[in-house]
Amino acid sequence: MFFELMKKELKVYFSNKVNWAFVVVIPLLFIGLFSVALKDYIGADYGTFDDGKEFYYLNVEDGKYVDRLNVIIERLTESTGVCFERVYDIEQAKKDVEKSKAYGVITVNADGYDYYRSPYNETEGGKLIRTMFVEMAQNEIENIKNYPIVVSNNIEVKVSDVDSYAYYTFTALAFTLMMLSVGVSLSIYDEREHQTIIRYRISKGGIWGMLGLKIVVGMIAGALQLLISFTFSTVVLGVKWGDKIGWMLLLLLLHNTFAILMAIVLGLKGKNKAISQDMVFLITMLSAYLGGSVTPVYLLENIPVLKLLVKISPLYWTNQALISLYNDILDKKTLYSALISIGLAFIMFLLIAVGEKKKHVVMIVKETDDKKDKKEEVAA
Amino acid sequence: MLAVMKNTFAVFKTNKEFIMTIVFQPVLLFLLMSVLLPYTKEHSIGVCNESSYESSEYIVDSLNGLDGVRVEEVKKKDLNDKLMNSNIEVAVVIMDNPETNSPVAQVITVGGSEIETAVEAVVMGTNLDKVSDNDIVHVNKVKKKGINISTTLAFMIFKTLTSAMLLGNLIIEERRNKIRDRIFLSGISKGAYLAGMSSVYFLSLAFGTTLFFVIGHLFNFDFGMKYTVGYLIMMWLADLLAVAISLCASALVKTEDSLWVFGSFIIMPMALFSGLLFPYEFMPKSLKMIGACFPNRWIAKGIEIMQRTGGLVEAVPYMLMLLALCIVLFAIATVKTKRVSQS
Repeated sequence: MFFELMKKELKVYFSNKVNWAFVVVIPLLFIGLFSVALKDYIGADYGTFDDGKEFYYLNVEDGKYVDRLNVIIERLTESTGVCFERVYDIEQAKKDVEKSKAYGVITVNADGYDYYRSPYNETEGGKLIRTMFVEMAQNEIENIKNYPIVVSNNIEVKVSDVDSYAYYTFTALAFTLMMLSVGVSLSIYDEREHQTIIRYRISKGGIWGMLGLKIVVGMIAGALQLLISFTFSTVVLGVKWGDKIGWMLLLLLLHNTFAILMAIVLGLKGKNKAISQDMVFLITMLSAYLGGSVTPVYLLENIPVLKLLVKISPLYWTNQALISLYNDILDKKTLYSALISIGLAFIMFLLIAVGEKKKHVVMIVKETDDKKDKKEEVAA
Repeated sequence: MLAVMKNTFAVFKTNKEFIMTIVFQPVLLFLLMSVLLPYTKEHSIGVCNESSYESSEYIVDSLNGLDGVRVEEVKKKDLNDKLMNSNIEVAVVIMDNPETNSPVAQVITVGGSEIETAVEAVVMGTNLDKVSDNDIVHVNKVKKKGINISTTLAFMIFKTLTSAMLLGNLIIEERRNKIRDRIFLSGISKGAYLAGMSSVYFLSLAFGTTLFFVIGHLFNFDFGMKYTVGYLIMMWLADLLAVAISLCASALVKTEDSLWVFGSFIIMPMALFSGLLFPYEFMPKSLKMIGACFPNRWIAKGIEIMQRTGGLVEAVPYMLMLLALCIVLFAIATVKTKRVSQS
């Protein structure tokens, strides 16, 4: 009986083209797009000084501040690649700065410098050049020219293997596994809408039989998504999953189980189909953002409040553990990730159980009332 | 039309979740995402000062004085991890040099950094005697800004487009339950029906957008432009586009499920290629070209142009493109609704 129902469930699930798209297209799209699109960003190549230009205006033709400016121009051009252009109309130059045609205008006066920056849209490159200029302008020429500090690179740094391909193979995969649960949520809502859920409740297998089927189907879809993503990342992106692949798969499957149970809870509680799916989607998106599946996690960890907030996302723990395992490190992160997925799955299970118990009590009360009414009718 | 508008408001009143989903949830999300989406071009520098010379602090001061970079103190034992995990991009280690009786600094990166030479220049340019001409540079004062709205923009456009999908849902539901037929029988024209429902949705979305705009001003958000009203105009256009897309989709598909497919496979990719999940400017050229074809990008581009040039006029072509698209979508929806009703 169970296998018959299972066959039916699988048939229903995979006859829906949208579900196929979630299993096959979405992970490939996300892993592929993220890996390629954020390649420069992960490498912090922001193009900070690209096409950078600075204007300068001379109120005096010579003197120590003009000489100093010439040395600064040389130093800044050498270290940042920004080009300097002399202007003759200061008001027009200021207007041009506001239109982002240059970072700023340096005016050389007899007693020092004026620096004009845009009040609305100063870029990061512009900020850097301005502060570098201010720092250098306060020094005598000798200090700018002579390097009092030796710069050499003799500290050994272990280079990480995690490039954008590896990073997004794991983090985007954990994200899409969670997204897969939208299908489960919709399927539960359909059972409610068509009232088949009531039949399950009064049947021999009970509601848990039906939920078990949904969980197994979700797990099969998740396993399929894993297989497809593994093949894609290995063959196309050249990501080597390494020796800890068993642990990685275990964590991903535990994460998948939690996501399915969460979708079941939302499918059972949602008042409207659109709102129900919107909720699953919203939770998934938020978890992904906080978990580092979209924005690289180091950026989130660099922000004081977010540093703590990221930890509420189950995806954060899964992603951290997966990246560690990818670096061949089996540590506490793996244990935390597994425990969090199991713990959250258990909470979801309890929520379902409590909800169903309430429904069961309502049904018994209704049944007793019906019997009472019937008895009264017979007696009358 | 007024009757349809009243009826739509009544639906909103009955089911408060609609108002939550259309108006307040997006605003809350926008505010949350303004903090959560830290895509920034700010570089990060780690400073590890191990020198016993007092003058080594001048180097730290020079680095701390840099705008556009984040400087944090790092212990030597954490250096490797911080660099490896990209928490910092450049490390500056300051040590003693007994030969010269002065501090020496090492600038370290993993695989290079575009600001490495700039950091070196700052470190090397530090005057260790600190006999400097203070107050000889006067920089114009600029109002300090808070959270930058640019990082949230693509997400806001996406959420606006998906929020309006509820309009499509309601239209399909009314069609399925034959409520719409009864409305038409009462003498209300198809155009008035669609216009009535759309205007209520548009007003709700625009209310949410305006609310975010006002809150943004109250919290000193950085709109990055001279005339911030330009931002509001573009976002109202986004609201209008969201209503037009939803209306058109509801006329083209038969069930609510199909509308969900539409949302997932048309709006989502549109948003993805327009910078929803990763900054548009970092995308490869080929992806940028695809993104440029979508209206999400036109909205973002209009705002970016206003930020860059400081004027509203330069963004007018994008506003007109959006308006034209909305008119086309409304026209398709009306024609299609009339045909379906006749058949």
